[in-house]
Amino acid sequence: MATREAGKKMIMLKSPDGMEFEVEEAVAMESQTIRKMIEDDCADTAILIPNINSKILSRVIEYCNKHVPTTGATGAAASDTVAPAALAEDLKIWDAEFIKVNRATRFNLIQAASYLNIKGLLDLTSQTTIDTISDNSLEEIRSFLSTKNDYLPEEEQTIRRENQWAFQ
Amino acid sequence: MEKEEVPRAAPGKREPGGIAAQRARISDSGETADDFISRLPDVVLCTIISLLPTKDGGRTQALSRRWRHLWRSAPLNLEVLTRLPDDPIPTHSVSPSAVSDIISRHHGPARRFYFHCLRDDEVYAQAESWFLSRALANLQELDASYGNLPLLPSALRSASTLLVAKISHCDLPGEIVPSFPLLKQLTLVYVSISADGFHTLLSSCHALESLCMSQVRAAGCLRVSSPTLKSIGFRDNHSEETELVIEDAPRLVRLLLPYCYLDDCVTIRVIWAPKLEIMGPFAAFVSKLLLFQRKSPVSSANSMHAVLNILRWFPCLEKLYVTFHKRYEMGAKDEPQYDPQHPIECLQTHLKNVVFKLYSGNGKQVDFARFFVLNAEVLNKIVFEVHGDYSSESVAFQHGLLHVKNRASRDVQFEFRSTHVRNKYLGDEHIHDLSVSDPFRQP
Repeated sequence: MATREAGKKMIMLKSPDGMEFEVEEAVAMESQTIRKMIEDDCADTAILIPNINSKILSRVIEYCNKHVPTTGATGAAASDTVAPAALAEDLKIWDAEFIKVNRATRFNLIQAASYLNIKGLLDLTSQTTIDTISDNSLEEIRSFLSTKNDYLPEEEQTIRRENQWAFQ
Repeated sequence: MEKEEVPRAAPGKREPGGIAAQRARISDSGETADDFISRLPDVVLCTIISLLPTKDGGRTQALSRRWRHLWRSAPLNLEVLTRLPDDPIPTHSVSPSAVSDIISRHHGPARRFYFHCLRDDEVYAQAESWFLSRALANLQELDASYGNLPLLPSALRSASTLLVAKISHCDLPGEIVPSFPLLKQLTLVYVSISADGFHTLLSSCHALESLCMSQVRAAGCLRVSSPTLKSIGFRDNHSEETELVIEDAPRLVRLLLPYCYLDDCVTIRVIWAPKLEIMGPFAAFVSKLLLFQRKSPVSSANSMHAVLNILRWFPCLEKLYVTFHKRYEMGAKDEPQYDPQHPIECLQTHLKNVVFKLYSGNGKQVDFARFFVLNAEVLNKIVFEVHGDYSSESVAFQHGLLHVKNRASRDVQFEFRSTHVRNKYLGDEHIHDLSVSDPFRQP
């Protein structure tokens, strides 16, 4: 976690369940949605993040803390010999650990990443779903995603016929 | 961690049966049967659909009513491949005959168009209209390959939105080059282009970060001038005389030259690339890499001279790959001409990693490697890639020959690494992905 350093501007993020998170402005601005609020001067004291509970918001902040680009001083903390590419590889390993969460959390994270517009987090959280859908039959996908088939049999037949290329 | 999670498949490697079966078992083992995904907003589901392989994306329409209309508004990912009648059934791509149907049903825009066709005049004629369709407007990624026919002018209709482009097996007419304001990655494989056409193409890329070239045939030399390029990959040219001249690349950090050492028809001149950090493999004893200061060559045929010139010429170099090749190691002994009274900045402050590939530990190679042991002051690691197995005795013997006791950098590690694969294909992604710290590492 980033330590609070003198001179860094802090921002308060509030979840609907009443928790408050104090984060560096640079970290919060990993979210394009928050960045826009800050740039438009709509963020004087605290920003309420609707629809994202404190458990999910804290994970999102954890992600942003890790992914905020390190600038001179903070980057040197690790070691000035670490090449940027090596850092990027560490990040990939960190991401792989970060995403080991249950399905409910993962979909909440997808939703949060989408609302807050954090591209890296959205790509990361969507990938498991993409892997689930690729190469599997419709029945398998529905089962993995717990999606109920609410088509009438003839409706489904029509869709299959109209999009034959996808089912060959 | 919950049971549902399975390790992600490595990109490009899918094991449909294995993973599907694994997931099916996991899914049965009981998690709350909540349809979380259907509660996600349309925009997120569309992003997911656009990242799916073509057929998988199309099939999502039949999942449930929630999904029915999403595919049409999700940016299209269209992968088209001609295949021979007796090829095994493909999974991801569609055949050219399905394209008209798909693009008539989709509203566009498209995220990616992958179009690999054998020489087929009928398909070639149709493709012109595909490129102009509403469905394929505002492409971000283009991967086009056709049987050595000229690139269709309409293929570059999306030039203003393209981020990634790969063009293979075709002739690139020089005069049809539009502007590419956003293009970051460009790959040219087996492409014929005129020297002027190449120069014009690069000058019209205003954001290009990586350029990968393989078997690019050009009459005259390929001149590179780019204020944005960070990585260049250049591969063998199958014995066609080619000259690559890096005239002005102020931000270039990687110059990757896989297999150029096997082919002495390739000449590479670097005139200005002061920020270079990673270079290789430099072919000891055969390299035709020439470094020019203004018009006068500062390099020579002597390989120790050549490597000293590289170190002088690229003061920021951190990682140098050197490859040996027994076949070419005849000739006079190299005498390192390094005068410590005139130190080289790179050896004093920057060079951190040296990797010797195909190291067999013979006298000339030891001399070459010892130079780095004794003179590179901030080295972290020297890697010796040895073909086949090696014993701890032979490592100790090498340490003696290399004068490890007198090493210039106290902290340097010596790693002997055994490789069993030779000349394995180096993927383009290593050239384009700047986050890979060791672009030549064999898995």
